Amino acid sequence: MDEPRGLLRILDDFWNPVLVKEVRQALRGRLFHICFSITLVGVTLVSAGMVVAMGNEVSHSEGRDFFLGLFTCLAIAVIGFVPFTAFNAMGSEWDENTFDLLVISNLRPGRIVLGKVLGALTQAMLFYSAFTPFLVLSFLLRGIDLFAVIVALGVSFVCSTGLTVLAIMLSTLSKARFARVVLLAVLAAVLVGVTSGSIVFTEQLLRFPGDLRDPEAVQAMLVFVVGVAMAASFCYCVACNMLSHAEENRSTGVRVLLTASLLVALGFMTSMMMQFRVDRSALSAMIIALLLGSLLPSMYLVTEPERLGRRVAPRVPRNRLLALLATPWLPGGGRGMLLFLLHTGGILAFCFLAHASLKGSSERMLTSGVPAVLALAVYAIVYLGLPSAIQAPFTDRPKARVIARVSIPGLLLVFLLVPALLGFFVGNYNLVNMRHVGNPEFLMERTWNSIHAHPGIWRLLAGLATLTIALNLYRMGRGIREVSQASARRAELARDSRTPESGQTEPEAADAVAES
Amino acid sequence: MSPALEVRSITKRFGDLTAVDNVTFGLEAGEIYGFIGPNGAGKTTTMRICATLQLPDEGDVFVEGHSVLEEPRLVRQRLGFMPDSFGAYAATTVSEYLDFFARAYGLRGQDRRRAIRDVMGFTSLEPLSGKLTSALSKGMKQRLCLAKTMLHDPSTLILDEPASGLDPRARIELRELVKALADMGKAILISSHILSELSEICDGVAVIEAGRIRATGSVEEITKGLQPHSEIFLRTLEPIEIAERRLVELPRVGAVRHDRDGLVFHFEGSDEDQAELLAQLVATGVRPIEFALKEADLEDLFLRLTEGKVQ
Ligand SMILES: Nc1ncnc2c1ncn2[C@@H]1O[C@H](COP(=O)(O)OP(=O)(O)O)[C@@H](O)[C@H]1O
Ligand SMILES: [Mg+2]
Repeated sequence: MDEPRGLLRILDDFWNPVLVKEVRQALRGRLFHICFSITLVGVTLVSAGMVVAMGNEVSHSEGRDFFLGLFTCLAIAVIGFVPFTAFNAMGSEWDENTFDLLVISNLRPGRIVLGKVLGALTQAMLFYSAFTPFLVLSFLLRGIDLFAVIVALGVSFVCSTGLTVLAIMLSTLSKARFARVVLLAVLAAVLVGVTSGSIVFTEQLLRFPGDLRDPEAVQAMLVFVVGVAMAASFCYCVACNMLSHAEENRSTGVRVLLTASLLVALGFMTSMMMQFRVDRSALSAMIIALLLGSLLPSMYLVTEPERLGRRVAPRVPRNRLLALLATPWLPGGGRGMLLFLLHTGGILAFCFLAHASLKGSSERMLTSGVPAVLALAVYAIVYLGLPSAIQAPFTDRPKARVIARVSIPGLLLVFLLVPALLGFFVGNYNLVNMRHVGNPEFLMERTWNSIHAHPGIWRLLAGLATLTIALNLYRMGRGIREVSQASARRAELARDSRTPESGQTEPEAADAVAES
Repeated sequence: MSPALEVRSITKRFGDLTAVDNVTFGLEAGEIYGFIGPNGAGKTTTMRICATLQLPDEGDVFVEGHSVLEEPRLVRQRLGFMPDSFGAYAATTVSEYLDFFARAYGLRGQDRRRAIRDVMGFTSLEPLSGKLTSALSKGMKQRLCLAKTMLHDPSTLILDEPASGLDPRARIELRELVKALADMGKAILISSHILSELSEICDGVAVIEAGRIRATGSVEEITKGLQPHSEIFLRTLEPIEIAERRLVELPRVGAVRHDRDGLVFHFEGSDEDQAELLAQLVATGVRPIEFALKEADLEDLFLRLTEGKVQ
């Protein structure tokens, strides 16, 4: 092995080990060489074709067509190929039986995933740099807007990064051969879709480069980048959780991220309201989207096993107050319910405050979608809370946990379809057309402008929500108690270890702090 | 000081199957401990628990006093684990493979290069440093994995069936390496489904079957405990049928069976009784060519210890 010198030598120690390995492997591997050669040949052919087609006359669209041809090759490489190799790179740890070796060498799941992501992005950078001379050539041909080129390349890079993280996350979901084939098919569909989407987008961009200067376009790009970053963070967290041991903390990352995303979204809405005139219905619609977006991760969190993992309990904060405050973000189904109620409450509070801040009489507070937001929140509480509270005692077993997770959307389907089916036999076409309590959308639409419609349904919903919360009180209480007990136990251990001979728990505690 | 490795009544269940059932044993620095049992006995599961890869349902394991449950990261720094089946990365050379794991263990700069050089020297892998791992023979792969296991200089080593699939020569070399490691003061837990493979190098053994420990102690202790009476081999000039007829009439002689071209019989008594027996035998007119106490056959012992239960 070559001995690096000078600055390189210092840097050499700080690279992520997985990144170093991935890059070495990729550069020696056959797949990368084949793909790299094919794209370069493709690009060369495109260039040659352009030169031949151009002949003597130079029109304004030549540079544009040439760039689009180049971009197509580049997009296939960095958006299609690179995430695909990332999927394989993660999967090979299982196929080649090396994952355990990574775990016992004390590599944290986060560093493994990050190393894989960076390894894939390094390959992407190689593609970009190989394309640079051709890009310069296309620019010399004129007819294209520099800003549009930068935006197109930037978007392709953001897509490549996001999809790489997604691919790695999908790859961690299952080790079973059949499941992996399905996951790969899903990934392939997404990759093909995004690759062609990005090519169409670039084509439009090159044709109307002026549109980019709109403030709205800038805002849209910002939203796109932030959105991809958040989705990628979720994928990253899920991948890390999948690589962690069942008794380790597989939840706090997702929980903190969920809270942070909600805060960012609320902040974004606030800034929108301060900048533009936002009408009430649009505001309600955004809040409904936010509520819906938080449901999927919450569904996962409320059906976690109830107790703290055996490797989590020794890491609960020693300080009782801190432990209490951290409770909703610690793993466990009951604590998941707590967090879900906290988020839902927060979103509802924001909804009321935001509507109150808008001009207009206080009477209008309960119109323009506010009742619908309320209805959705209540439905969410019932649909998530009722089945998970009933199934909570069994979620220690993986199979029961899967059933609990499936039962939530299952229950929604049952409540939607069974009345419709009954209606069909009874001959009640209101029921057949989904105009009944089981359909949240029906009530939301009916009460959009007035909370006074359908008082019977409201009463029923209020009753169910109360029942749900009552049923969940026990597990939430137990969740809080468990944390405070773990915290007390740690404090006790710390007191014991302060006696002379052993200071053994200290390094691991420092470790825990570093981890969080 | 706490023992190098202490397994404290661990139990591990997979559904209805109890793969490891209340297993307890321990080893000190510099000790080689054999962990012996038939396939499916629970050896790998126990070792994976020791290596923090699985968690016990009950009990705990301590490596130099650190719990695998509560301080897995501290345990991993002190422990080297060589799994029974281990992968080698595609398109990676021997030195790159070691470099990667050295980085993973957080070794930096000069330390990393020195560690790699040391383990390659110890396992005589230097001539192969530029070779692809996929091109190595089974024995060489095993060495590479052992080298990888030693990179961070762990005080305790756990080797899961390291000798399986090796040719006799590689097996002897492995044994020498293990002995050298023990001389360096490392505690070594080594598993096998063949008792004789380990009996020469082990200071102690634990025999496990169907998740339960059947016996622990030194190889001699186990042998003695299992053999209430000694067996004597007898070969005579006369046809063995005649010798057998005379033999069964003599005192203290138990069950007799034919073995190769002689007889093996159970005998209970001291050395003097043995000498007396030989004299009596000669007096009956039988002329012995061989008369010897039979060494305990480890395979026999093993079969007797374990009841051939398959899970
Ligand atoms: N992950 C697992 N899931 C279910 N059963 C397992 C698992 N791992 C091991 N077993 C079972 O536990 C028993 C002990 O296995 P193992 O520890 O590998 O035995 P050994 O290494 O002694 O051959 C076997 O019956 C095996 O089938
Ligand atoms: Mg085994």
